[in-house]
Amino acid sequence: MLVLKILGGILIIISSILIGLIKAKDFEKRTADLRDIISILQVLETEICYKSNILSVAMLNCAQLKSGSNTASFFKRASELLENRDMSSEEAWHEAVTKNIKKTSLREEDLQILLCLGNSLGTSDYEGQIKNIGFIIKQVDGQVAKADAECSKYQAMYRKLGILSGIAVVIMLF
Amino acid sequence: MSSKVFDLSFDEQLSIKIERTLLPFLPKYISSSIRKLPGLRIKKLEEIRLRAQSPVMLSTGDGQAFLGNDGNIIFNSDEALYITTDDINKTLEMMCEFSVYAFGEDIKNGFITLKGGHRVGISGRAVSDGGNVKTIKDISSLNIRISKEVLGCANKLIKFIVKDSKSIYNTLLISPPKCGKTTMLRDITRLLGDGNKELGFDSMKVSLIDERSEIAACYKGVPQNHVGISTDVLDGCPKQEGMLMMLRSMSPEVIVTDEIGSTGDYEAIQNIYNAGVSLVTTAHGYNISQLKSRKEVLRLIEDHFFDRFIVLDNSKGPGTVKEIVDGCTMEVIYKC
Repeated sequence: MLVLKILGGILIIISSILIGLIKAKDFEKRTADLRDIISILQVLETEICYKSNILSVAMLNCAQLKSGSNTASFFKRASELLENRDMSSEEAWHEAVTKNIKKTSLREEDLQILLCLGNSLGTSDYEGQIKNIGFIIKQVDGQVAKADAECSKYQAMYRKLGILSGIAVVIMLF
Repeated sequence: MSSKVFDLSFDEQLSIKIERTLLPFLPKYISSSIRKLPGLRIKKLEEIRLRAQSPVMLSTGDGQAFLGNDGNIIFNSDEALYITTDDINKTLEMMCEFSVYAFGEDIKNGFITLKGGHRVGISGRAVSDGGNVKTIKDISSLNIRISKEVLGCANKLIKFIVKDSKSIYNTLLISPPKCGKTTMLRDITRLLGDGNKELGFDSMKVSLIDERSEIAACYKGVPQNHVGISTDVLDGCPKQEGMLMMLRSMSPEVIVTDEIGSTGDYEAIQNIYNAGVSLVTTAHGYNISQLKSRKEVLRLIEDHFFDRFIVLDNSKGPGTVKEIVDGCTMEVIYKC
């Protein structure tokens, strides 16, 4: 009986440690996703302003360049929607972002910033595009700083919390 | 040689081309009506004019008429299909592939080219800055000119242009608007680029400077029209600069470009002449004497740059060759 109890206890502790680690990892993932967004947006700016590619091609190229990233799915989907010609660039971007945001670790506040990108996506001259993308990059940059601060603050806490809560539960059960 | 050089007969190709390259951009109610147009109408269709809050107008060789609800042609504007300002804007955005920035230069010049080579003229309120037009806003009219590629239309004309199997005469095509000047130039380019054993000349290295994207109608860099296998296309480049660039970079035997006559063309053409490269080009005009009133073209004519003048008109349908004149002796070689 005692063996079973000890085994159960160990299982609880291990799983709570894992939950803590996953929670802690989420912070890291969010910063990584935000950083990916920034670098993809920089590529998008190049695609638009220097290569002068049309939006759907520019977005597809961005997605392919960063195909390892979760956030590439926004650009891939938006590109597909634009190719279908059913909706405007803004609508396509909104749909692509809102439908794929769950695949990433981004939050509601990040989503709102990303949606702003749609406002003048493709509908102005180069200058306007540079300004728009630059503005979004700046805002995402701010989110990165915030996420970094949160990460260092809460990451260690969640790890410790995982271990401690596991031990606490086991002690209470015994 | 028959006086009518090419026949714009209706073929499946044209309606397929319109279906693929034009209708997806138009609002659904207009495209579905155009789809129902009888084949003969499509064959004659030259322009589709969209004006904000006005009836959709179709322009054919015979004149103008309104587009009705069910693919019928009507002359009473009350029953015609109307298009809203909003739909005009949407149409243009779609034609720009949602990338207005990429078409900024084109919009500034007043037209964009669609995949398939159709040219869309834009009118609205110009935004200017220090005398130069920056862009056009509040778009009120779109004029879609349907591109018609007529393969083989220059087959009978080409023997007047080719000197021997490896070289050609410097040629100027003269024609008023809508008489098939660009169509003819395109087919000449194709013939020279491909070469033709039956007509007795080899394929030549042709450099095509397609300033308005009308001849090759490049879409994403790939010519949508047939311009020959050994033809290099410089798309969207200003003519004068383009001619010199191609001369330097592609070592052409023939340079083809459209609509000469602006200041500076003389110097560029002189460069081509000095390099021993042949030129085929076009100019707006009704006849040679009228062309002489244009200073830049007059200098070219007086200096005998051109060996052949080919005058087109519309008397027996687009592409009728009115006369062909030897540029040195000014003798008429062929007359309709």
